[in-house]
Amino acid sequence: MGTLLTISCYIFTFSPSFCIFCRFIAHDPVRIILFFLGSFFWLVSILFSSLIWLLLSQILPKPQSFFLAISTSILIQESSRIAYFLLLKAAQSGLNKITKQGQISVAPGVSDLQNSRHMLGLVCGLGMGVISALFLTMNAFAAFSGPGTIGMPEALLKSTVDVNRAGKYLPAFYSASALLLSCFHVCWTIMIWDSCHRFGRMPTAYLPGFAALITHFAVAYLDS
Amino acid sequence: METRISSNPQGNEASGILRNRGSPQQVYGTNQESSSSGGGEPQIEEAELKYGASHVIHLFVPVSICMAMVVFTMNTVPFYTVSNGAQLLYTPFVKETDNIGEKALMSIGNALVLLCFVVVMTVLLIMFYKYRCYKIIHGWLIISSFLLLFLFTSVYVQEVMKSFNVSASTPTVWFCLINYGILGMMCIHWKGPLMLQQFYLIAMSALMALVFIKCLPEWTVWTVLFVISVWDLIAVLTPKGPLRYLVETAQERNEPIFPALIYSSGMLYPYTLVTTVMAGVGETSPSPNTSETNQGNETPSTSGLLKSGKKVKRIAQKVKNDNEMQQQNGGEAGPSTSRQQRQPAQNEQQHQQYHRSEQQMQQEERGVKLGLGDFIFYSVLVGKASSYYDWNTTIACYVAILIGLCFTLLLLAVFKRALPALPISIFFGLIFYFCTRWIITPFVTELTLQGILV
Repeated sequence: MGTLLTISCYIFTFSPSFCIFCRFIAHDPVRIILFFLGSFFWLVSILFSSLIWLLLSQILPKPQSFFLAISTSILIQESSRIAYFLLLKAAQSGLNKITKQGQISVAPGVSDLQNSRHMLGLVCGLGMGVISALFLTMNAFAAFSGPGTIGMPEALLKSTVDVNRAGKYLPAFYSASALLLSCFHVCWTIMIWDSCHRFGRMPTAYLPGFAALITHFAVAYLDS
Repeated sequence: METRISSNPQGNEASGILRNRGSPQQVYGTNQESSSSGGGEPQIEEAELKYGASHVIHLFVPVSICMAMVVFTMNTVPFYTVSNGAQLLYTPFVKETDNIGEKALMSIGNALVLLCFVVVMTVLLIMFYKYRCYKIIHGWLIISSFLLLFLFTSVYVQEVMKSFNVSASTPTVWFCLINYGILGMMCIHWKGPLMLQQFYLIAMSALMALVFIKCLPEWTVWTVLFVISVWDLIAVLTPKGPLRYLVETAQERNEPIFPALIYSSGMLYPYTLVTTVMAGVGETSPSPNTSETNQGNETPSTSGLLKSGKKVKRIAQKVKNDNEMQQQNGGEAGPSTSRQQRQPAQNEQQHQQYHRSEQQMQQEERGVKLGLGDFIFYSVLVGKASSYYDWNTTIACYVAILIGLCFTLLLLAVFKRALPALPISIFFGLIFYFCTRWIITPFVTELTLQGILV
């Protein structure tokens, strides 16, 4: 029973990502690599943000340090997106140097940054979204499969929030929010990259990126 | 009888390369200008990138399968997670203690002892290879894969059946195991479909990784991983490094690559078919004369295995070395230029046919090779990470190792020589293992407790 619950949670959470992966990513090796690189960037950003959390929790009392850590984590994640964009930009100019005019591009995902940059954003953002959803759900799902527990036993012991707010629907809510998170990451990546792309060309270039940042904060703080 | 049949195309293939190296212009007489013009360079790089990307995926898949097998076993079969006191012979310091300093010393000692064994065995293998004792090497590999395929597999099957509460009759189990093992021996050491051979290699690497995880003491795993990747770096990159010597000797002798111990993403098997086409064309090729060389080449789909934990060998190797670069130069540009010229001469047709088979063969052959040792140690890292019931660590190590593999293959495309596949991946993996376990997981747990998803 627990195993079935866990499996259904996984299916619920990752089916949209899986569909997008199969439809747009799986057929192109370069896109698969970019997908994994996206998840690696997210991993690095979460590493830095947890380092900062560790430092802050030494200095400040708990609630402030935690919320400050969340804010810095969001900022770091967004800047890792920008860093990824710059990396791809550099890679693209490198590729353009070796690709002659009129030839079929070597790495369609990278070379056609102008033509299909939203697709590129989708690919890389999906990598980030999938790994963040995995990180935030895998341990919880593993606990769901445990003997006779629903929700997280550690949460029952330690948490200060009301554990009954989700009740028996906790797995469903949990999977749904992870699902939304993975899709949000795709959106945020596309928006931020759009800003980066138009930066300096249009006066309103900062708008999508700004919106992404605001919604990211909103998602985090509405959750809490 | 059979081995001689299968060795012939191999021999011709090897000599085909030799001939091309000797006189590339003669073979590709029609496209001298295209191969000598500067425009060929970006084409090559492009093709490399394209093939490079797909080769990365060709390695991603087996590495992932191997890791998945190990992680699945670690999480379902308790036999491999609990140490029952059985230790490898190579890790003499096994005292249970809580003293951290003592633990660290013992794990370093264990790792160094294991490293000594690895070095000795590698040097032994190189000596055998240098003096062309192919029979000894093959016997060695056959015995070790025999052990893995029969003994270790039967232990594994027994434990899996225990933990899933499946009971099968003894004759059934014996029947299946013997068939499985014999099929594996045939595929690995003689011939068989490529998929099957790859499957067996992956399965054996996973088994070996499980044995490592079970038998190595707790902290020794990490020191062993570190020490082995440093050794890998030294053995492949230093001018006198044994693995580098092995690769260079194999290239000198025009053997496809030292066939044992390596997972190949490209086809080894089909090019026996392709080269039979060539056998009619390349008649001038001197056939390999010594019986030892035949022995060395004899197995079209050979890939051995490490022998039960003693010697570890890993070479990330692009088959394409310099002479094949020339070959590729011709092969890439060949068909297009000859299409433009449209000379229906018999000779030309023969050339084209030759090109085509040549090109086909390159595509088959241009696989990236990864030593089975890499598979084993990647899986050891991920499997060990998953044994603490923290999925974040497992995922982080997995992504880190794959990204490390990407970097290694990128460097391979840049440097075009054999590179060690372990160091970058294992260092990434180790960094992310410890960071995730001690820093990231507490933070993420805190987040999940608050119900915050960022």
